[in-house]
Amino acid sequence: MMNTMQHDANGTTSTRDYIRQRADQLRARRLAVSKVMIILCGAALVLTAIPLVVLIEQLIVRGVSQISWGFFTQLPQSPTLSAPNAVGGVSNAVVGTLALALYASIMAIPVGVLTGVYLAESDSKFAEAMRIVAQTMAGAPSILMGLFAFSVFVKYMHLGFTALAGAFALAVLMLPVVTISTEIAVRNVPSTLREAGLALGVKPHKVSLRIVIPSALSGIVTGSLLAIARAVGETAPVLLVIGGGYINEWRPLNPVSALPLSIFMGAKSVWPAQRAQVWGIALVLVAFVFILSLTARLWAGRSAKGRK
Amino acid sequence: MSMRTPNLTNLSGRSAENSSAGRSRGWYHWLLVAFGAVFAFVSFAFVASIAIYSAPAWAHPGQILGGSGWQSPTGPYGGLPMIVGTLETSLIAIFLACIVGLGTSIAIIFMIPKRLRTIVATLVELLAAIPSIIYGLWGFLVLAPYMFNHVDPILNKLPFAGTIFGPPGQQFGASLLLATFVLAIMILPTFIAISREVLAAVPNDLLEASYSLGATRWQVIKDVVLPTSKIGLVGAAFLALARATGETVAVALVAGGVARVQFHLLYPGTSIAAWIATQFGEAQGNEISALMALGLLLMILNFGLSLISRSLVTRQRKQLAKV
Amino acid sequence: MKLSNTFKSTVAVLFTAAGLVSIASVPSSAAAKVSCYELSKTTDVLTTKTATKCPSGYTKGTPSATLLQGTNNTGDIDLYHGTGVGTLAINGSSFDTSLVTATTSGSGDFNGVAFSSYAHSGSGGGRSGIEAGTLNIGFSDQPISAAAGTLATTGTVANTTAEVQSNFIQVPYLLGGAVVAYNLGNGFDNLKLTASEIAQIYNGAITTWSNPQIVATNGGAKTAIGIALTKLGTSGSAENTIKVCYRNASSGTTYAFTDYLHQAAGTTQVASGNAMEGTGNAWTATNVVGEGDNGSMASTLATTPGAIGYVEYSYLLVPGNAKIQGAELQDHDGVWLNPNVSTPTMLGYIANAAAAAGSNITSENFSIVNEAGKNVWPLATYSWAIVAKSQSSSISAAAGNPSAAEAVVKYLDWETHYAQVADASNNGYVPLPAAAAAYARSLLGQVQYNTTELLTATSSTTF
Repeated sequence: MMNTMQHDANGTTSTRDYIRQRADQLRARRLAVSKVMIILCGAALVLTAIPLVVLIEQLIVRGVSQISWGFFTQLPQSPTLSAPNAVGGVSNAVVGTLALALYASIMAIPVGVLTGVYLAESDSKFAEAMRIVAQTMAGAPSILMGLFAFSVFVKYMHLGFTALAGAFALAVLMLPVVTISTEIAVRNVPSTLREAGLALGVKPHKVSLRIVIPSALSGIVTGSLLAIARAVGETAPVLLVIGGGYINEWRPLNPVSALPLSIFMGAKSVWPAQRAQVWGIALVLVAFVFILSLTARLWAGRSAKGRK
Repeated sequence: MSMRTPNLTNLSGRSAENSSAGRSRGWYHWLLVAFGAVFAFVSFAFVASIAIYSAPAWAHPGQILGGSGWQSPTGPYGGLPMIVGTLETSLIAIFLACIVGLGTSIAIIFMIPKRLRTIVATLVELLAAIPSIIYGLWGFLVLAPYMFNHVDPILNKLPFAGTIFGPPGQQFGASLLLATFVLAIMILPTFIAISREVLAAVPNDLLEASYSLGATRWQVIKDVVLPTSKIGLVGAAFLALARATGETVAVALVAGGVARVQFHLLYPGTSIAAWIATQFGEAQGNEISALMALGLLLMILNFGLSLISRSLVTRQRKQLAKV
Repeated sequence: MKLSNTFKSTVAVLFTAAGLVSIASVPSSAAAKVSCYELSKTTDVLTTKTATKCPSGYTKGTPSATLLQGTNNTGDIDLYHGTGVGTLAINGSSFDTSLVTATTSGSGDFNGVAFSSYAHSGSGGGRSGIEAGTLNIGFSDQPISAAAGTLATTGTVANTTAEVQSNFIQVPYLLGGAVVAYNLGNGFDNLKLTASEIAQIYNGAITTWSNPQIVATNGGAKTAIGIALTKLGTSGSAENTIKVCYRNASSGTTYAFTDYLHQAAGTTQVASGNAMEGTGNAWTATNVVGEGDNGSMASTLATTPGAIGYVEYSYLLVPGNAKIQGAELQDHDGVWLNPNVSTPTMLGYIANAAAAAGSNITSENFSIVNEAGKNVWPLATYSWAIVAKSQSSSISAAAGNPSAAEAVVKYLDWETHYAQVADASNNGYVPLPAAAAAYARSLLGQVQYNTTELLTATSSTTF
């Protein structure tokens, strides 16, 4: 009230000034708050990046010195008191991992792709239920796949510890991932393509096989590569059923070794040379997974551009 | 998962609107259904086999759910320490991951220019692609000594340290707190991936309208984006929580492997998945059934959280479609 | 009649010729060479010589197959096995890890036979695997027997002594000792701990290294170590709190440890190879961490100042880790024994334990913990390898594969003889006494495949 009294001649200027002043103050405060919060969010982003950077750095620093030609080609040795640094290489684990990846892919990819195609082309209640099942299974703890493979292969079929059991556990892990990514890839094919084919009188199954699926192929391949990348790195499913070994074994009905298993066993070893070697194995594993993932990404990116 | 609307033309080649007019189901259709059935069978067998082999342990449900000690090999097999450990580590991990993850997602969407966004997104996905054993290895060989030497002494000096962390001097490298930190780092990418999608799905005109009213960036985030995507964010949290409950080797390497109910975070403990992984190799007979029973519990917990997450994210999507 | 000169000279010539011939033949019979051989008892190395007379220590002739068996020389039938052995599955005690891995992988392995990775899941894992038929050999520090309390509680193959004896063979695999290890850094060498104090530590009654009992046992507050211990307490160092490491999976090393504490300190916990968890059996100390095997126990000890645990002796010797020390323990007669003096001395203490226990070691009479006698290490123990008695039966993992069964039996015979000589001391174990090795061989001779004995199988044996 005082203000209005002072500037009587100019009418409401003073109120306006007061309001404008307050408004500016509040806006300044809001802007400051906004800046601070945004910076905090930026800090969160940095905080997220830190473990990745630190981890990669540690892997490289500690792991690179372990890598050599012998690392890939020699069999592991056990250090003894007289030769505490004789750790050999990890060729058994490399061979085993490749074998497991191959067998698991053979089991999971055909079934996964065709199931994904089915889910993409069907709207029945059964398909909807399967969609939910696939998403739930995709997030299931990997140790349960190991228990599943154990009950089927070791207990029920009495086969003992085999590569097949490990590959089966990994296949069960890969199946939902391949299914979901195939479904997405097929759905992303424009319906105009399918309708055009049908309008031209092409039979439905030929439309799918000759037109729709080839268009979705890059997405399918991407999904499969990502599934393999994930399966190769999993320890828990194979820990219970593959048996491990010290020779280059790849046959399905024999016990095999695997890279994650070698890491798990070596991490808690009492021999410093084995603990050091584990970083090399970890680096190889991460590099393998990264290369697969990046290849999958590039493939997807390139084909997306191509379609435009 | 972003799913487009279903193709209107289905397998029979007729559009959905005409589907009432006598569909023909060819061999192709049934072939695909068969594969769907195979998938269904495998999933069913997955649940059934673990349930069946765990049956002997369910004769004593009170033991598995409430017993406080695991006596190998004769039993009784008490699952309470593992259940408590799983819940403790996962819940605290999701709490940490949500705070940092939400900030990160906001930063990615509202701070990073569009052209850099793919690179940042790829980096976050790389974080997700790292196998969990690598986190466990790093946690055990690098983070544990670091925490032991530098962080634990500080934590022990905080107020309420005694109740949360336990009496000082216990300082083993391996502890529930270390497992919690490692888990939080591991589930960050999961949370960020989904929350990013959820946040980005808020319609642009809503944002533009708010900006034109003079709102600051933070106001838009706080008052428009977050409330709109609240449900989806909770869904993202549930999914990340589901992932945290299932982590096996990372927790096995860093949690300390003690089967006792433990509420002091700087003391060692265990989780369901870690206990199964470390004890299975030498278990026989009833102990295997007990471990399978623990696995069944984990499955129920994980599936429940996944399904809740899925329904929340779907609800979010429907809500946004109406806006 | 006078003999003619011709006749006389002929006879003379004949006699001379005969004489010359016999003289000529004498050197060649005196120079006839014989084969001699010497088999060293300490290295199993076979040296052969041909000489007219065998030097001292050498035996005439060629060594028999029986003599060569288990010596790793050419002609040792242990080195022969059929084709198609595949990978032999092994698992069990981490007490044995050094010797098992030395003899199943790398350059010292058994004749190129492939073995699975040794997951050293613990003695219980070895027993359960062999009972389930998933392992070819199970290694356990205690045999499956009523005396050890390790009879199975489920299944039908190992629930009673009669079943065990008809289904399995249990041979002594190695002889070694456990130590009570701690990590306190420099200035705390050769710490003495009585059995009573160790029991109190594990049951939570003693929680700090500066505890007066420990100081008193180590000569009182005025000695160098006494001062150092007390200083830990007064300086409030984090190291002062005793961090107790135990085994959270079944462990034969735990059995020896608990057996010792029960005998020497009268703990309520009796000898048990099980994880010390659960009601009634758990260590009551609260400051504990659980380890899965000897190796990770040793690693944890090396990285946790103030920690105490129990490991097999050779884990102390691993170079490159932060120093963990073995505590001095009292033998049955109260004499303090120091495991850190030197490896031969320590192995001597363990060998004394075996000698004191006598040669009548069987699966019912297996414990050599806390034996009476001078300089007898109280934590000594044998470790056992368990295999199925009938390798063709359904209990055996080698059913259907006679070559694998043969390799299993021959590996164990080779190991209990040659590997003891060549590898045991290098890995921190005492070579098996002759009686134990002979006992092992006699048991291995009972292992059959379809009624054919495996130990003496040759290339012409059919199954």
